[in-house]
This record gives sequence, structure tokens and C-alpha cells, in this order.
Amino acid sequence: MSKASARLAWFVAGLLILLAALEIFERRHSAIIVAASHRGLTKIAMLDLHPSVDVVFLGTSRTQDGVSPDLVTRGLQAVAPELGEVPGFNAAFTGSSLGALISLVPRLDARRDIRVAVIELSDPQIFNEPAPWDETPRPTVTLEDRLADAVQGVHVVRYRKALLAGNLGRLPSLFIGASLGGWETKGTEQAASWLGHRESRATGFDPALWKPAIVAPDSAPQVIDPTLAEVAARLGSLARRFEDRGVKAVFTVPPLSASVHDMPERQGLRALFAEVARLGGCEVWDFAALALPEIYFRDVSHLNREGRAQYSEALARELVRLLKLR
Amino acid sequence: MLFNSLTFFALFLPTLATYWLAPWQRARLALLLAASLIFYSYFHWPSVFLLLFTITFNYGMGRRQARVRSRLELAAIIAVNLSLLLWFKYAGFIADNLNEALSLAGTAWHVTRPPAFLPLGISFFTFQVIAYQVDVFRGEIPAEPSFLRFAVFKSFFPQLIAGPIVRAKDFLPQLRDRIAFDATLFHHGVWLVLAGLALKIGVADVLAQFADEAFRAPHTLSTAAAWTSLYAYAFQLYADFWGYSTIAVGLAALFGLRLPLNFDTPYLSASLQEFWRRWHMTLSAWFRDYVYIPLGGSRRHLARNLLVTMGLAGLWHGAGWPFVIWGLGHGLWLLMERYAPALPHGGSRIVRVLKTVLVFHGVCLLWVFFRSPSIAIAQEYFARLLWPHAGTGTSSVLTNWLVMVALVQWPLAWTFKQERFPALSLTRQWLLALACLYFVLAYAGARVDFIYFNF
Repeated sequence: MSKASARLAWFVAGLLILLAALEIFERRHSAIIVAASHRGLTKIAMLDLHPSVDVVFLGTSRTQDGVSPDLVTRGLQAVAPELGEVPGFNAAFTGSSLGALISLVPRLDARRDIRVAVIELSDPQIFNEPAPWDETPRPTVTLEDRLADAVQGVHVVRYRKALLAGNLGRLPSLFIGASLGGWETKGTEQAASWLGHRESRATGFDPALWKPAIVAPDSAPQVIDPTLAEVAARLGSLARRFEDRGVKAVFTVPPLSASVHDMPERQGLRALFAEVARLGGCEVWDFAALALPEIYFRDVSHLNREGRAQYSEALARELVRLLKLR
Repeated sequence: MLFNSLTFFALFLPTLATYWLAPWQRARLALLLAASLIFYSYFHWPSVFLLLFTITFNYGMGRRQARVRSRLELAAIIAVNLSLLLWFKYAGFIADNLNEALSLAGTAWHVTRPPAFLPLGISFFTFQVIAYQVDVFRGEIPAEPSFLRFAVFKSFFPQLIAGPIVRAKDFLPQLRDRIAFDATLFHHGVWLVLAGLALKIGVADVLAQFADEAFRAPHTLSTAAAWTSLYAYAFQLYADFWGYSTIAVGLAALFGLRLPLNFDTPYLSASLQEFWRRWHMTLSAWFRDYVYIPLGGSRRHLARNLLVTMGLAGLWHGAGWPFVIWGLGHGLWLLMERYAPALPHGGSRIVRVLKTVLVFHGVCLLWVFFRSPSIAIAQEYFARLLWPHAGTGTSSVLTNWLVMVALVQWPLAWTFKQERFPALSLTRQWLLALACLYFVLAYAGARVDFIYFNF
């Protein structure tokens, strides 16, 4: 064999060995690789790394950025020490949609430890385009489709979405997920939590300022358009589904800056909140009804670090009632 | 059949294996011809008859040209080849413009628009065969005596659809003797195919999402987003065609055949003339040798020759006025470069960098005509680019992608030349190949057509 042929053989063999190693790695860590392919699945996989979770928070980036489960736990311990430690996990994720939420909830069925599900009720949560992680099976029509189906047996091909640049960044959080509360979006925040750093509790918390408008389950029926009626029905059945499994559901409308008045949560969605509460047999905590100063926000609908501390404290105060009821 | 499809590789790999196992050169050539016709028919099988007609016609006429050397006959042969191109590619455009003119003249006459159908690769194989006929007429090459060899030259599937436009004098001699397996060339071919796929799938198709969105609704863009989206289109087009050409050269190398490279980091050019020496090099050379120089080149009527050549180059890319304006824009710019010798050609590195940045942005501005479906969209896009507007912001993902592509283009192009890749250390080869495989695996799935298939 000539030198050139030997180099070609080594090149091809080396490449095949590296691909085989990648395939073996993906097969060994298939759960993590699958989870990295979608934000929602990443959160569920991280939740599974937590042995005990009492309160789970579901929603969009408004909840993801706005709720620190550790601060909620510490807030609960401060106001109701008799409850003991109440660990939580923030399973909200950017771009969540109603379809994503409904697909996600059955994946929590195996978790018997969850006592309360705090579900975001907001315009993006309802109207975001659905981004389900279970790919819709496509009809096998062409030779290309058949070949594409045939190569699905190779994990490197089947779970190639996990390799996308945006998804690769999720892999570290899946390995250290047990140390994370789920709100940490930046690498620095994840590293800090992993190293044991804890956020400071809210300074100068004013319970009156942060007391949400509570929409009770016995609200009067509302007249809403058919689209919203369908949304209310779906969210209502979601809450009932939790109830059937012994989990208390509560909806929260995340805080908004006082500077904006035309957000749907302050306009056309208010009747929906009442319908959701009525159909779901649960409360809706409307924090959007509050006039909160801009110092708590990084933009009109996303809380900053201090806002997160305040909102987490406020949620703890409301959760006390629910946890004592159970 | 798309190079970036599984079907292509499922058929290509057995073809390649059979090719190297075949004991005789004629059997190999017959296999290449059969494979080329099958791959071509996969798009639209009736087009194969058009291809077979042009093969047979040009083979016969080429043989006759070698004997009679008639300028009139050459003109007739070129006219027949161009008439096919004219009918399939430009008849609709001509009919639309005629109807517009008739309507302006106030007549009730109306020319029926022929059904729109563009046989794939017709622009490329027409130009290739015109070059062959002219070269035979000029006596630069002998007419090919073997029908099989000529048919393979005309239909060789890696370059049939979108080039590179291979010259007969470079390609036909390679088919005459039995092709020996060259491990270095094969090795290089594997790399080129891999890198070309990564350029297409991992760069062009990703950037396409941003560019398509921007040109769909330019009125929503902020000025910054309009510029970054234009950069996205510039690099999408580059990566798409560079990727295709690289795969084509790589596939040919796997068969032991050498095709010319078509790109040499054109966005790093310090003048437009240099740009055209480094962008779609085989097309530029074709226009230089078969249009610009026969018109008189730079010896007489320079302005006319440049504008006609570049106007035709624009029209070659698409039957539409935006393409013509794009070509004429390049012609005017080239003319300015000729008549502005005060601009320093050499100079320090800083001057060269500044000139490169200027040329890149000028080329980008002209791409607006190339990409816009209509003059109105182009005007809207220019308005967003050139006057401050608020609107949709710039995606950080796009910015990251553009920086990455801008940085890797030169080292990548370096490895494509002179079979440099097999000479690298094995560790570097594996790292580069893994990086390409990463892009192919992670971003595959869209199976977007190559842009130059439309030309």
C-alpha cells in the first residue's frame, strides 16, 4: 500500500471511529441527548434530577426569569416554618405555548411528590405558536422519505437536533441540573448556582404592593369569544387533570410594568381569567393588575433580579394558603 | 437530484464502487453516462431528451466543424444552441416585455406567454457546448471523435446542473486514457464533498432563513437589520454556490477526474475586477473568452464591451430586469475602475483592507437587485439600507453566524487548493472533517434547492 493510500485509509478509519464513539456516547446518554433537543424537555429532565419537589412552576420566559424556587422556599420557611422545607422547581421555558404546556404536563405524572402546580396565564403562554417536541410523523412517500426513515436507527442522526448550536448549550445544565432551580438562563447564573451561591431575598418587601388580585373559582360565567372559550376549556381541563392526581393547580398572571396599559393581560384577557378559574376550579392570581414600579423590570414584562426576589416572596405568601389547605 | 439528499448518495456510492471495479475505460465511461442521465432524469425525465438532442447535435456538428471550419455554420450551431436557451429561459420574459410595449403603444395585440419550464442546467450546458464549438472552430482543440467521451463531457453529472463550466481542452483529455486510482486525489475529493455539504447545509441554508425573511417584507426592517440581512444573503449565495461547486469538484475527484475550482474567497477582493477573477471563475472566464474579447476587449469600445458583457452576464443569471440592472451595475463599476487609475492598486495593508471592505459593501448593494423579485422590492430595500429606519432588530444568532463564516472562508478555501488537505496532519484532517460533519448532521433536513439551479 502506498503512503497516500495509507493516509486515506487512516483518515477514513479515524473518522469512522470518531463517529462510532459519538454514537456510543449518544446511546449511553440518550435521555440527556433527547432532552437537549428542546427547552421543555430540558426542564423536565432537570426536574427529574431533583429527588423531591413540592411546587413546580410552569410558564414562559416571564415565569422562568421571574421565579426563583429557592427564594420561594426560603420565603415559605420565613412566613410558615411549620410547613418545613418546601422545595420547588422552575420548569418554565422561553417560547412555551399552550400546546407545549398541554404536552408537557403528562410527563409530570410519574412525580408523586409534586403538591402544587403554579401555571402561568399570559398572552404569550396562550397565543405563542406551538412548538411541540414530538415530531409529527410525516407520510413516507418518496424514496428520500424511506431513506430518511431508515437512517433513524442511528442515534447521531435521530437526535441530531441536540447538536444544534442553541441546543448544545443546554447540555451542561443537564449534567448539573440537580443544583439548579430552573430559573438560571445564563451560563454564569448556572455556574453560580452549581457552586452553591444563593440569591439574596427581597429587600424591603411590601406585601400590600405585591398582593395579587385573586380571581376565585366561584366567579360568574363570562361571555368570551369562541377562541378564548376554547383556551379556557383547555386550561380548565388541565387544572382538573392536576386535581385528579392530587396536585393543587393555581394560575398566575405574571407582573407587568406599570408603564404599559395596553397589554392584553390588562385589557381583553380579564374575562378569560374568570372563566379559567371557574372551569378549572382553582384560583387565578393576577399580578398584572398591580401597579409595580419599573425598577423591578428589565423590560415591560420580564422581571429583573430584584423583581424576581420580590415576586418569589409574593408567591411564597400566597402559596402558604394552598399548602396549608392540602 | 440534489447533492444534499440521501437518495443521491444512495445511488452515488454504488456507482462509484462499480466505476472503480470496472476493468475497462469504456465501461467506466458508459457507467458515468448512464449515471448522469439517471441523475438528470430524476428532476424531470422528459428533459433527458433535450440533453440527448444537444449531445447528438453538437457531437455531429463538432465533427463537421473540424472539417469545414465555416464561420456561418458556427454561427448557425451557436444559434441553435442559444435558441433552446432562449425558448426555455427567456421566451416568457420576452413575451411579457413585448406585451408591455404593445400595451404602451395602445395596440390590442397580445403575445401568448409560453408555458414556463426551465430544464435544469440549460444555461450551463449551453455555454459549455458553445465554448466547445468555438474552440473546435478556432482549431484550439480537435473535434472529439468518440461519441461516448463527448456525451460524458457534456453530461457529467457533478457539473451538469450548475457548473463549474468545464472546458473541453481540460476535461476530454482526462477521459482518453484509463483513469488510474489516485489515493491523494480521492482523499481530497472526500474532503471537498464533506466541506461542500457543510457549506450548503450548515451555512447557506441557515442564512437563507434570515435573508428570505428580510426580502419578503423589507418594510419591517430597521436599517441595522437590513444590512445584516443583506450580509446574510451575500454569504448565503456565496456558501450555496461555493458549496455546490466544491461538491462537484469533490465528486469528480472521487472518479479520478479534475474539475476547476470556481471560487477563491471573492469577498476578500480589493477591486471589482479582482472580485470577478475570484467569483464563479469559470463563468467569468467564459464571458471573457467568448464575449468580451471577441467584442474587442479593452482594445476598442471598452465601455460598450464591458457593459454588453456584464449586461449579458446579468441576463444569464435570470430572465428579469433586476438581473440586467445588476449586471449593468457591475459593468459600470468595472468601467469606473478602468477610468479611475488614481485609486491605488497596491498600497499598504490598511489601504487594501479598506478597499476590500468597500468592494464587499458595493457588491452587497448590487446583490439587492439580484435577490429582489421586483424593482419595487429592491427600491424598498435600498430605502431601508440607506436612510435610518426603526423596525425589526438584528438577531444575535445571525450576527454570530456571519462572523463565523467571514472568519472561516479563507482557511477553508486554502484547504481546497492544490490537494492541500491530504497533506495536513491526520489530527487536523479529522478535526476539520468532524467540524464539517457536525454542520451536516446538525443542520440537515431542510433539503433546500441550490440557488444556481435556477440559472
